[in-house]
Amino acid sequence: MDFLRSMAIPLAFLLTAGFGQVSSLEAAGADGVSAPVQPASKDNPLKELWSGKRWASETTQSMQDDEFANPAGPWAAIGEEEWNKVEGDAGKSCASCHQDASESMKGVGTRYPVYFEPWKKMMALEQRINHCRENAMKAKPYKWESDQMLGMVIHIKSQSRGMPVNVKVDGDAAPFFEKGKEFYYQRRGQLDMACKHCHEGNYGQHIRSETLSQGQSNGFPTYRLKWQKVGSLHRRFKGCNEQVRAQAHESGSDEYVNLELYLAWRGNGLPVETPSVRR
Amino acid sequence: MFRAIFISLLIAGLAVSGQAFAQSAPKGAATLDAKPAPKAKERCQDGETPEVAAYTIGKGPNVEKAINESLTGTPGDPEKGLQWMAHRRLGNCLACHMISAVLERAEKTPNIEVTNLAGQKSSQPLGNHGEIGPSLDGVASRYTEGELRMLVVDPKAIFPDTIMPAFHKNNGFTRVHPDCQGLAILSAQQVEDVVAFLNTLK
Repeated sequence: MDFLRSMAIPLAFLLTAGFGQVSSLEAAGADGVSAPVQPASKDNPLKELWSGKRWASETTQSMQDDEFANPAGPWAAIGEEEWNKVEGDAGKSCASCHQDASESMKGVGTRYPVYFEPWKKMMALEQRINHCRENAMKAKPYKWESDQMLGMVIHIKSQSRGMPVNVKVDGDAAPFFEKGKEFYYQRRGQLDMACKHCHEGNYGQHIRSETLSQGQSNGFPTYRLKWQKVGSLHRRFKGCNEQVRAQAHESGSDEYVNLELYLAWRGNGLPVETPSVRR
Repeated sequence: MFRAIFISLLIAGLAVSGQAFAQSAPKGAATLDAKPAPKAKERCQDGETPEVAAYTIGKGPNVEKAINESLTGTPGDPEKGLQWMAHRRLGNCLACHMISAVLERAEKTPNIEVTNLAGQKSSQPLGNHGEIGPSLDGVASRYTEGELRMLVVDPKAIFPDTIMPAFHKNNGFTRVHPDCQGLAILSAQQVEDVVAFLNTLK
């Protein structure tokens, strides 16, 4: 009995230490910054997933991590304010139906874009927000790149911060996933490059002094130092397209929503970082 | 890394006493990088040219295709070739390819003055080479002049999956930006200049 009792404490210690080690390893492996995340699907052409944060400078990384230093803060505040603002003929705010975003919106940011039956196509989070505004609130839709829309998307997606991206690409979403994939591998523009040329085969390599990333979307909307403001994923798509001297598509176009779906799938498993900070 | 921070902070206009950052930033490069990105409407106005020379694809000893005859009949100027290669919106070869001889030159003179076909003068960095493509050191020992010409004109004729753009081609693309439609990045003579420079890299 005494023997057992004397063993209990070291055993408990060992067990705790053991668990501690496992969980800290998991934590280190789960962020795609200090260690890669394993892709959820074996069909993912990427064998390890890295957040763009991995290639951000230390200053930029810590700017993102510090809630008070993160320059996207003002947009997050706009989003929270908008959430509670009564607008439109129905006399409602987002909170009227969805109450506390920290509970009702938890996990939502990991799932979009989703298949939307009435449209028979994919719906991005921005479109979901405007659908609510126009139909439930009877309010005017936000413009895609407006501070209100960016703020609202940040407010919603940041409720999933740290949760793994997990878009569904089978069932009704399957044909749209295929379209997004086709876009990703299509050469375009005068420079005749596809997304894959930079972000699949050459990530981690330098193009001049820039480091190419995997082009992951888990941090969007992102505060980009180059923009000196927060911007949407579709704004980034336009920039990429124009950089290879191709004609961009419209924000919210089917092309970009399908690409967003495909891109999110390539990052399924990476933690949501919204709002991230990038160069 | 530090340079990246420096530029980012510069662009963001944040106050920083970046002594360490400033010291590690190559001379001249930071100010060039910090320029705002060109507007979309100016995307292809650095001398991109609508005319594409007719050429015959022959065989090469090292790769299956080569353009063994000059596109213009006028010998290329290697010094001009380097100018087109350094120009960020023309060849921009240094964005992806490392050339030791050019890096050495960049240590003494970080920039090269370039007058593009539209007559605009600019100062282009000779340093800061990328690593996406293979090093061009000794490229003229690996390929003949005709093969190099083929690789600059349309590298996909030899390497179908390459990231490298075709520099003397003006059609057959998808969704080209309106400012760039029907234009080739380099003129026939510019290609000859680039090939002349590459041919010095024995």
